[in-house]
Amino acid sequence: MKEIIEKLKRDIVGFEDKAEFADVGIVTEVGDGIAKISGLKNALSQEILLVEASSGVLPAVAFNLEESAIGVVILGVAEGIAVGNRVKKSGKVLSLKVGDELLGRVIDPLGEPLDGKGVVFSAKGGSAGGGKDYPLERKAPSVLDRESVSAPAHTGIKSIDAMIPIGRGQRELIIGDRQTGKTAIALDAILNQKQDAEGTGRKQVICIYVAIGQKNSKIAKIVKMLEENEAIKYTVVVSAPASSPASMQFLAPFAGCAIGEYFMDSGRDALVIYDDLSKHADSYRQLSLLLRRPPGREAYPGDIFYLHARLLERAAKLSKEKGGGSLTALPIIETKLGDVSAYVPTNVISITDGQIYLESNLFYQGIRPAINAGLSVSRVGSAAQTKAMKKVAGKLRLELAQFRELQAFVQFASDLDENTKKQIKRGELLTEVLKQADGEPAAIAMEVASIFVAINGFLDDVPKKEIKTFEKEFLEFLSKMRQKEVVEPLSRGEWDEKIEEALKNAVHSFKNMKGTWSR
Amino acid sequence: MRYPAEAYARAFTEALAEHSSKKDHIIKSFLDAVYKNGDWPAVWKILDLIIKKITRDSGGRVVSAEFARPLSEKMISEFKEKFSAKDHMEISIKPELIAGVRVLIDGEKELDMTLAKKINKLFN
Repeated sequence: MKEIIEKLKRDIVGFEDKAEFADVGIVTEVGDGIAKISGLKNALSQEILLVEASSGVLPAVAFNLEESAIGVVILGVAEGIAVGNRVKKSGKVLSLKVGDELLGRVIDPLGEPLDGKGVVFSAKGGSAGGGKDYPLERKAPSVLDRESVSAPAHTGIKSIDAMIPIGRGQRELIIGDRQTGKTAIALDAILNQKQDAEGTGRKQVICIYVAIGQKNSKIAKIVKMLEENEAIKYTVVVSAPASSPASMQFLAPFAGCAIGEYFMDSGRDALVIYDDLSKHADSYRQLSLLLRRPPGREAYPGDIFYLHARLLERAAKLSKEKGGGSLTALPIIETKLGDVSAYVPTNVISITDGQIYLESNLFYQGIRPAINAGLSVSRVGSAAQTKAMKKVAGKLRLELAQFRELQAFVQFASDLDENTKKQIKRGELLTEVLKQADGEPAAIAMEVASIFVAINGFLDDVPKKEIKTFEKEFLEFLSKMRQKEVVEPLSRGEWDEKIEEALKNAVHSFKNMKGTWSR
Repeated sequence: MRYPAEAYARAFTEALAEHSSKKDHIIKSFLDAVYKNGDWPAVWKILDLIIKKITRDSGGRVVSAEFARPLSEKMISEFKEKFSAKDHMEISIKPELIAGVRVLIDGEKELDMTLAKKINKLFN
């Protein structure tokens, strides 16, 4: 009590209030999370303005700087704001406190905790000294600050790591209709980062999952899943659910990117998932239309391309001089009835370094993940693929491409020549091997081993329905019996004749042990 | 609004300057035009802009003074004397200011000498 009284006394004695002129703005219009302000001629673009509402001081971002007024986006609930309220400049652009303390937390785009675990940054400051202010909008690293993508970012999904490899610092779009498994791929990539860092010599990737306009129940489910798999320890969740104002949904990916940049700047590798940018574009369209910016195609504003380009351009692999950190971006786009030629999908396809295209048809055929290998591409990731995966994956792409061409003839199988039949069978085998359940990312060594046995004909005598069992038991056998000779070098991405021979021997030993699979 | 309030204000002041002899006719026609264009709900905003424009064009300032309590005639005239005759003065009473006065000039510069501000500053 005495301390409190002393503190109050100091505050009262030290209180100074000089009457002087200050720049102010006046709210002239307000509604739908948007306000128009007269005055404040020196306000900066993206500056935080403080609205003195009846319910307290509310922050707002200067969005439109016009000749006679400023269009602002109110951050938070705008109910207390009325015409005539005073507005003052803060002199700060929109920023977020970032630091290692964010790991394992669920926050909103302004950095406020949503997980009920208390304040993120204590007053005393943790390892990062109480957090650093990172602006939500920042210039992307320049050409000189970057270097080519060279290290792989394994997702734990065989078809992606083999055929559409992603490198650390790459931007790879995940695109597909609703309910095709887009989020599942992103979450598997998060889950896989733990096992990918263990004993492989690769750095642990810090993950940031940005939920934009998602259902609260879905976000809760994702957080629970991350907690159950202990992936939350190296993950930050930025949540702007469907119930949050459009301004929060608009800011969420920029907040996620700022957090990723903090880890990248400190020499670490980060992976940021924007789930999804279609809803982000919708929230930006809403704000723009309310601010009376002229609508363009599909009523999106003219700068919708720049909005996503400047966000995704911030993903980079930094040069050694800049610390060598990286920020990998996995934006997600939801298409309507498979229409990839809509405005926002085409924009993001052209911005990113490749896309993983998911198809409803494949999904309903039971091919999960429902990746269309023909339309999916990774423009820079192959440079980051490990030697082991490169060795087995080259043949895989070719075999699957040949299978796709012959697929139309599957129904005439009895009239086909032996060679074609063999190719069709091999294609079906490979498709079966590439199937993977949600939440079960495979370690890179196991992925290489699975594809190796399939591509080299070791599964030709295994009935289709037994393939998954064979694969599971063989991989168990490998991890228990061939850890040193096969699993460890493959985990490090090594490949040579000795390892190939050891792998072949392992398959033979396993087959001998199990007897025949041709039942 | 069919036309922006700024456009109405500019059109009116320019018309008035060009045809100063037809002042009554211009005011009546202007109000008719606002009504016909369906912009009547914004008429106060337009009038406010017209006052500001006329005041600024004549070299004056728009001064808005908010007092916490009603003032006597004498105090009001003393207060008005502090400003130029060209200035447009608006005086209002706002009890939520508790005590003191808040003066806003041209909608941009504010001198806040109210108790409400001091209390806010002390506690925030």
